[in-house]
Amino acid sequence: MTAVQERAYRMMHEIDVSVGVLPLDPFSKGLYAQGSYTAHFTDFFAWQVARGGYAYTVKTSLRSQLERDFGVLPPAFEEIQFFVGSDALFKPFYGKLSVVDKWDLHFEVFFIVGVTVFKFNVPDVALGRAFRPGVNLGLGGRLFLSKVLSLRLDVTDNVVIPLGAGQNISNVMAMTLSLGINIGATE
Amino acid sequence: MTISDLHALALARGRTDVLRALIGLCLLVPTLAAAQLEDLDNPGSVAAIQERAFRMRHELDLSVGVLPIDAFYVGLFAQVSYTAHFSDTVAWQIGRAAYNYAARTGLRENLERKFGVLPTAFEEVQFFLGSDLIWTPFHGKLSVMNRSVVHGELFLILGGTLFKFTNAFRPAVNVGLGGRVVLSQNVSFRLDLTDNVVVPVGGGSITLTNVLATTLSLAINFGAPE
Repeated sequence: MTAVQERAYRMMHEIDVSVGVLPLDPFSKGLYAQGSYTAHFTDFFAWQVARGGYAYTVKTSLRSQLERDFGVLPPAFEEIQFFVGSDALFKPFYGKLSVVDKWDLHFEVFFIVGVTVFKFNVPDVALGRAFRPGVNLGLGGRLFLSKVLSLRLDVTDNVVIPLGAGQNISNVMAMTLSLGINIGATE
Repeated sequence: MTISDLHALALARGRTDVLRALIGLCLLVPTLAAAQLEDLDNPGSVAAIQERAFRMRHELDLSVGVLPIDAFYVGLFAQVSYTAHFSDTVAWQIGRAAYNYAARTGLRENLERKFGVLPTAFEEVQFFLGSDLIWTPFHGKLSVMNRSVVHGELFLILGGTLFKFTNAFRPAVNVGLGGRVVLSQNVSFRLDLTDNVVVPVGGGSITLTNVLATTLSLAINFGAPE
């Protein structure tokens, strides 16, 4: 017989202040800051109503070498400038962790499905080339620090849909670390 | 009424007074418990740490994994390993051995085709061996949809690996993180994420490189006590 304990922490209105990285592109790495708001309807379901992030791009040594040794021009490398999105969160897992058998921590693990619109910096700023939508799927985890504060880590893959001629489907992976502020949660 | 009658009456009254005082004191005693009630209202912070439901002893792992970080190839590997668990928190992954298949990326094909870069310019991992220390400070339970419970643990990994690249053998120091989901006393799933910092030795390499390994294992546990 298994007894499942009541959750010790409940989320209600969550405001996140985040930093993240876009690590997948071999030519540039994006570092970004993001803000978001999430409404938690039940223990299992939430809606990340809106998130917005601004990215700063760092060239990799591979890109520097291609520009220097092979004469590849910088406009050939597309970079993400900013993005906005919205997601549904499904939270089936909630747990407790003992730390060296002395303390306990509470956490949850959730799935993320959503949409994002990316703004790329391209020479031709026609709408179909600069702004592109993506479908994102991901996994996240939250460590509860108190009833009001938590740390959250999201890893999502954005499948970016090509709108213009000559574009291909591409993947943008985002890893986001957030400080979550929980407002209005009940006991 | 004689003096002796008065004396007897006084004694009786005295006994009654004493009896009343004793009864009164007995009725007051429960008020002492109110102090404890106040303590119960504010019990302070007390956490009970449950005994672990599962223990590891001799662990044999059958694993598959990926080396995802190189821009020019993605490595897919199969691995076997043996781990001895000395206590709930300390274990030694005595030996692990893996063979890697390198799948070229589109970027590499592009560079070879458009810029004439020779295939020999791209070094790939062929196989690797290693050994690690494992420290498991975290053990926990997870409820699934508030209906069932799954046990697991998280651990830290520190070890050494010897890589065979296309042109040379190179040693590396690896650090990482892992997690285990226990299916039964004998079977668990394990996921390890380790970063190998490869020391530039031989083959013309002059800089440190990183080889990230993600390993998914089916772990078979022998000899664990109840």
